[in-house]
Amino acid sequence: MRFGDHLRSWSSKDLTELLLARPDLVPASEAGFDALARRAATPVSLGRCLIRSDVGMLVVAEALTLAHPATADEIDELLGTNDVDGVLGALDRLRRRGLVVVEQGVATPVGALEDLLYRPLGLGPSFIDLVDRVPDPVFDRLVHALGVGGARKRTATARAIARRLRDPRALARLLSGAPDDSRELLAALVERRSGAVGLPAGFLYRGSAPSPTGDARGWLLDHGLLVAVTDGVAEVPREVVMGSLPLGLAPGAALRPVRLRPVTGLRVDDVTATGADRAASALDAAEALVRLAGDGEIGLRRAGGLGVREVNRVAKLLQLEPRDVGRLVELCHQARLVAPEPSALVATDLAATWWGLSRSRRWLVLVRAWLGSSGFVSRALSPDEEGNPRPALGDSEPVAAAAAARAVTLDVVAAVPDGEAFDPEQLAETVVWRSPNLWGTGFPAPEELVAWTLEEADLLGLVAGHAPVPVLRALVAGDEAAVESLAVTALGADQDRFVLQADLTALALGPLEPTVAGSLGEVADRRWGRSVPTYRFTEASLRRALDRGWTADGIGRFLADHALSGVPQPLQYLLADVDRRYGSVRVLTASAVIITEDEALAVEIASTNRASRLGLRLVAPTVLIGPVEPHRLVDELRAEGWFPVLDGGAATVGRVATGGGADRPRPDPLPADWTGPALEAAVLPAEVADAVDQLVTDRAEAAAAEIDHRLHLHWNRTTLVRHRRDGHLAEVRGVLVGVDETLTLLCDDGIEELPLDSVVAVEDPAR
Amino acid sequence: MIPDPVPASPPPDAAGGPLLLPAADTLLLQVDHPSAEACRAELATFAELESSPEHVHTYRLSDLGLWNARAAGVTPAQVTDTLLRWCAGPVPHAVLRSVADTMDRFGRVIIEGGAVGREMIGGNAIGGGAIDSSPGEAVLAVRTDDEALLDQLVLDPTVGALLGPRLDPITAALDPAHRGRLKQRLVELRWPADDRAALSPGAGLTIALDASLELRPYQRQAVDSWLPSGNGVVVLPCGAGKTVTAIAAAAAVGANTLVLVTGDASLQQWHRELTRFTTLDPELIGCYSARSKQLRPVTIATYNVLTTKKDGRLRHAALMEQGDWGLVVYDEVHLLPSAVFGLTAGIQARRRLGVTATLIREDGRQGDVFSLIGPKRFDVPWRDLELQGWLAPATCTEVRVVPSDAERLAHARAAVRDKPRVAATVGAKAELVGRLLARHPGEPALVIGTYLDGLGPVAEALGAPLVTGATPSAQRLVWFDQLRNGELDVLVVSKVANFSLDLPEVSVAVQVSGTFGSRQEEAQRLGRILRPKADGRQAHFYTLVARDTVEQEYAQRRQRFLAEQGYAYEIIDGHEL
Repeated sequence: MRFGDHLRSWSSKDLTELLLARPDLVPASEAGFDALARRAATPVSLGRCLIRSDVGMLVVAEALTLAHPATADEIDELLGTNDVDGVLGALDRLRRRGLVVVEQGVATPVGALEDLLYRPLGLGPSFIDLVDRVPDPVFDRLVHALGVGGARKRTATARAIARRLRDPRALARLLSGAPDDSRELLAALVERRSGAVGLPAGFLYRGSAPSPTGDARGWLLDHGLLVAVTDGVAEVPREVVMGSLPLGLAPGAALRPVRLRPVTGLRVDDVTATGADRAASALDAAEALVRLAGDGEIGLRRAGGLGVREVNRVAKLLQLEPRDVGRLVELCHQARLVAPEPSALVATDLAATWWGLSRSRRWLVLVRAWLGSSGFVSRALSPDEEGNPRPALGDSEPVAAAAAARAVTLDVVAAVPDGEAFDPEQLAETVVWRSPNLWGTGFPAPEELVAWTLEEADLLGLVAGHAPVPVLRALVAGDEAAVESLAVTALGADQDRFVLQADLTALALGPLEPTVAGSLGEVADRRWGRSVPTYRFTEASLRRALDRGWTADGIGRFLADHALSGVPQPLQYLLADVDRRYGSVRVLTASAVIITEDEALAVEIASTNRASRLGLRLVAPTVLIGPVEPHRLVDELRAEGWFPVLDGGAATVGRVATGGGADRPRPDPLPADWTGPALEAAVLPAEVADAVDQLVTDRAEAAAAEIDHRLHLHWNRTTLVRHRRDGHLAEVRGVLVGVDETLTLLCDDGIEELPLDSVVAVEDPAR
Repeated sequence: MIPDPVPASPPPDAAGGPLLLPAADTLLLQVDHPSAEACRAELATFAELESSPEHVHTYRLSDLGLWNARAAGVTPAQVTDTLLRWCAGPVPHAVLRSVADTMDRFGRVIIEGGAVGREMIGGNAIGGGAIDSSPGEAVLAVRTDDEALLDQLVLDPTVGALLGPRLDPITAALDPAHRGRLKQRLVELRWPADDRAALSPGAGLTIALDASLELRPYQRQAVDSWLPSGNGVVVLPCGAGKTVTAIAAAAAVGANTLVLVTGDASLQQWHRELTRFTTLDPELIGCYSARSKQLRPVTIATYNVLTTKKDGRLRHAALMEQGDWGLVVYDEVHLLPSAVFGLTAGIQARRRLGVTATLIREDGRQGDVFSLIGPKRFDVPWRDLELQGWLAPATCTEVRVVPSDAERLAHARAAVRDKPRVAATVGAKAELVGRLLARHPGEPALVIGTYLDGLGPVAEALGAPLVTGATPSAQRLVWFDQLRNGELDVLVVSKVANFSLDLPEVSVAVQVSGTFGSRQEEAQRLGRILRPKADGRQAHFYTLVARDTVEQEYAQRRQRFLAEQGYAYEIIDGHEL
C-alpha cells in the first residue's frame, strides 16, 4: 500500500497528532493525502522530524534501514536489545510520526529515511559501496586472498564477499588465519564504532589513530576487512562489524525513557501556592525593573549590556539576587518591555500597553515571551568559557532551537503526575533522551540547558518544588482558557481599593491596579513587599506629591475614593498640615541678587521699565533678584544711571552703590586708572579673579577669532573701521595692531581703541 | 535538591480566611473578619505582633518568636496547621519549610548537667560520658543531636574557645562560667540552646502571699508558665500587674530573691508592694541603691547601682552572688543595661524572671534577653485584658499648640540640642492643660513632662504639686497617696513617674513633653492610667505638641506607635478646645 493510502486510513486524532508533531506538513495537507505523503517523505521534512525524535525511535529507525522490511522481533534481534515491546513502542511512535509504515507487523521506512540515516548505528558503508571505488587489480588481489571464485561478474563477486563477511562463522574462520595484531586491530576498530545515533559520526579509521602496525593493517586490507577509501583512510565495511557482533549491534540501546524516580507525598495545594508565590514575586520584580528602566535608573556598560557592577546596583535597589536581576533584564527585554539605549536601559512604548493589562495578563506576557525566545535568560551572568560572567543583554548568540528545547523540557515536566516531584538530573536525562539531536553540539551542554530551563520556570512560578504547577500543564496542553483562568487564580485580580490605617499606612490586601498603585506610590512611600505591598504616608511623601502637581484636595479625593474603610483622622490632619506648610518657604531661580541699604532706592530700581524688561523682582524691602547674568545686570544698571558694583562675596550678588543725594552714602571713589576689568580684578578674591581672567581671555580670543573671520581683519595694514558711536555710524582709519576686547588702531592722532561690539565692518582701503 | 514531603494538614478553613501572607516573614490579620479572634489566639503563640492598628494587624515570623514558641512547647505542625487553616490563600511550601526548619533548630543544642558536687534543682544528667571534676564543682556539658553539628559549632572560634574537651562524639564539657556567653553566641549562630542544666536553689526563704491578694487568672497562669523552667520572661501590658505577678513567682520559688529595678521610684513601689502583698517581715526586705546598701534576703536594687563603676570596674557586681539568690527578678527587662547583661551571663545557674510590657528594645538586643534571661514564657495582649475588664479602655489625643511668634523665633534660633526644651516650654501649654483637665471634672489626673522648665509653670497655673527627681521620697509618697485618696485632683510629675507608679484611679494623663518620642516612654506613661476604674470609666491620654517644632517630629513617632498598638488616636488643634 502506498504511503498516501496509509495516511488516508488514519483517524482524525492520528492525523492531528501527526500535524502537531510535524507542523511543516500542514500546508501540504491542504492539497490532499497524496501531497501530504509526498511532503512527508521528503528528506527535508523527514530530517526535521528526526531532530525531534527520541533515542528509541532513532535506534529502531536506523536498525530498520539496515534490514527492511522487518518485524519487531527481527529488529530486536539485530539490535540485541532483548526488548521486543520496546521495539514495538518505538515502531509505533515512528509510525505515528509518519517515518515508517507498518503493515501486518512488518515495518518499512518511509521515503528518503534510509538516505538520511546513512551511517546507521554508527556503521560505515557496505562492502559493495566501498569496493565500488577500488581499482580492479586491488579487487582481484582481494578475491584471490579470500578464495572466492573469479568467474562471476565483479558485482556478483562483491555481493558474495559481503555475504561471507556478514556471516559470523565465516568471518571467524577467516580471522582464525589472521595475525594476532590484525585481529586485535579489527576488534579495536569495531569497539570504537561510534555509539552515537542519528549523528553523522560513523565508523572511520583515519591514518594512525590508533597506530596499527603496517602488517596488521595490511592483512585486513588484503582480506577485505578494511577497505581503503582514500590515501591514508580506510573503513571497516558494515558487514564486518555486523559479523563481529553476533549478539546485536546495540544491545544496550535505551529504547524507553529513563524511568523517573518520583518523590511522592507533595500536596498539590502546596505546589500551587508556592508556584503562585513565585509567579507573583517574578511579576513584582519585573514591574519594579520596568519602572526603574522608565526612570532611567539602569545604566549600561560602554560595551553594552549590564555587567556585574550594573546588575549588582539594580539588585541592591530592588532587593533581589543579582542572578535573578540578570534573568529579569533578559526576560523583560525578550518581552520588549525594556530596550537598551546607548547608556541606559529604558522602558519601551510597549511597556505602557503592558501596564494597562490585568495582573495575570502581565505575567502571561512574560511567560509567553520566555517560551518563544531564542535564548536562555539564565545565560546572563553565567560563566563564559574563560570563567567570566557573561553580561546581561550582551552579544550572545541565540542558542539553536532554544524554544524547541524548552518546549521538550516543559513537556516532560508537565507529564510528572500530581503529588510527585522530579529529580532534576533524571529529568535532564529524560529530556535529552526525548530529543538527543535538538541541542546542537556546542556549549552549553544539553544537561545545563535543561537545568537553566528548570531554573527559569521556577523563577516564573511554572515549576515549584520540582513539580509542575497547574498553569504549566495548561500551557503545555495548549488550553488557553485554562491558562487564563489559572493565571488569574495564581496572580489574583488587581484591586483598586486599599486599607488606610491610623498609623499612617496604606495596605493593599491584594495586588493593586497599576494606575492606583502608581498614584498611591506618589503620595506615600512604598515599603518593598511582594504581593501585598504596604505604603507609609509621611510629611515627605505628601510634600513630594504636592511637588508633582497633586493638590491636597486631589490627594484627599483619591484616598477617599480608594479607601476601603475611610480616611483616618490622623491622616487627614497630616495632609492638611503638610498643605498648610507647603510653600511657606519658596525657592526662586535667580542669577543675580541686588542688595541696597536704601529701601527707597530698591523701589526706584524695581519701578523702572528696564527692571521690568530684565525681570527684576523686589523680594524684600532692600533686595531684588533677577534672571540676568550679573555682569550684564551691572551694565544695565549703569546704563540706567546707577553705580552698581559686583559684590566680592559671591559672583551672583550685586550691590548698587547709591548714585547721588546728600543723604545717600557715597561709594569709594573710583581709582584714577580705572579700566573696567582691572577694577574687578582688584576687588575679587584671587581665585575668582583668576577664573574671570581666564574667561575674559577665552572670550577675547574667541571674539578675536570670530571678528577675524567676520570682519576680515588686515593686520598691520591701514584699515578702515566702521563702528557705532553714540548711536551713530562712524569711521576710523588706522593701522590694525591688536584685537582684545577692543580693536586697536594706530591712527595719525594716536591710539584708538574701539569696543568690539561696536565694530560693524573692517575694510582694507587698498582693495 | 528534592523537596521533602510536607506533612498532611487539614485544608484551609475557607478561601476567605482572615490571614494574609504577603511575605515569608509577615502575616496580616484582618481584624474585622469573623474568624479574626480565633486566629489571633493561635497566632499569638508563635508570631510577634508588630503593629495592631484598627483594621489590619501585622505579625512577624521571626527566629526569636518561633524559638520562643518552641520553648513553650508549640510544635512546627501546630504552626503549620494555623497557617494553613487561617490563611486566605494557599501557603507557599517554602514558608512552611522555613518555619519548621527554624523551630527545629531550637533544642538541637542542649546544656545539661550542673548537679555534680552540690545540691542543685532539676537538670538533666550529662548523657554518656563521665566528667572528671573536682568535688564541689558544678559540671556542665553541651550535647547536640548529631556529631556534625557539634563539629560545626566547635569550628566557630568563639564557641570553640568557650567549650571544654569533647566527652563523646556529641557532647563537650562546658565551664559554668561560660554558660551565659555560650548561649549568647549560639543565638547569634541560630542554634539556640535549650538550657536544661540544674539551677541553684538559693537560700530558702518562706514568702507567703497576703490573704488579701487574689491573683488574677492570667497572673497565676504566667507564674505557672514560668516556674517549671525557672527562667524566662513574662510579658504583660502596662497596668496588668507585673509586680504582683513577679511577687507571686518569688513566693512560689520560696528562696532569697534579688529584684533589679529601673530606679528609686520603682524601688519604693516594689518595697511597698512586697510589704503589702506578702507576709514578709519588713526587716527581711532591703533596698540597695545609691542611698542605702541593705543586703537582705529579699533585696531590691536599681540597675544604676549595679552599673556604677569605680576605676573601670563595676563596684557592686558582687551583689549578684552575695545573697545566694534563688531568684533574680528583672523588672522592665527591656531596659536592662548592657552591663547587667554581662553580670547576668555569670549567674546562669540562678532562676531568672524578666517582666516587661514589651520585648521591643530600642537597641535591638532582644536576642540577649532570650539567651540570658530566657525565652518568653507568657504573653497576653492588652486587648484581651481590656475585653476581660482588667484594663481600662483608653483614647489618645494629640493636641497641637501654636507657639507665639517670639517662641517660634526662639525655637528657630536654638541649637539643635536645645530645641526640644524650647518646644516643651511653649507658654500656651499651661493654659491648654487647664482646659483639657476641665473636660474631666473630678477625675484624678497626672500631668507628665520631661522638662522641668515647662512643668513648673504648668504646676503653678494649676495650683498642683510638682513631683521631680529632687522631691523627697517621703513628700512624693504623701502626694501620691493624696491623689489615690482623692485629696488631690491633679499631680504634675516629671519623668520620675514614667515607671512603676501605681495610681489605679487616675484616668486622665496629659503629657506636656517627652523624650524624643520614645516608644518605651509612651507605653509606660500610658500604662499609668490603664488600671481599670472602679466606675468603669474610660482613660484619656493627651499629648501636647508645639506646632512646627521638633515636637511635631517626635509626635509622629508616638502617633505611629500608639496607633500600631491599636489605640484610637486623634489629632486636634488647641484652639478647638
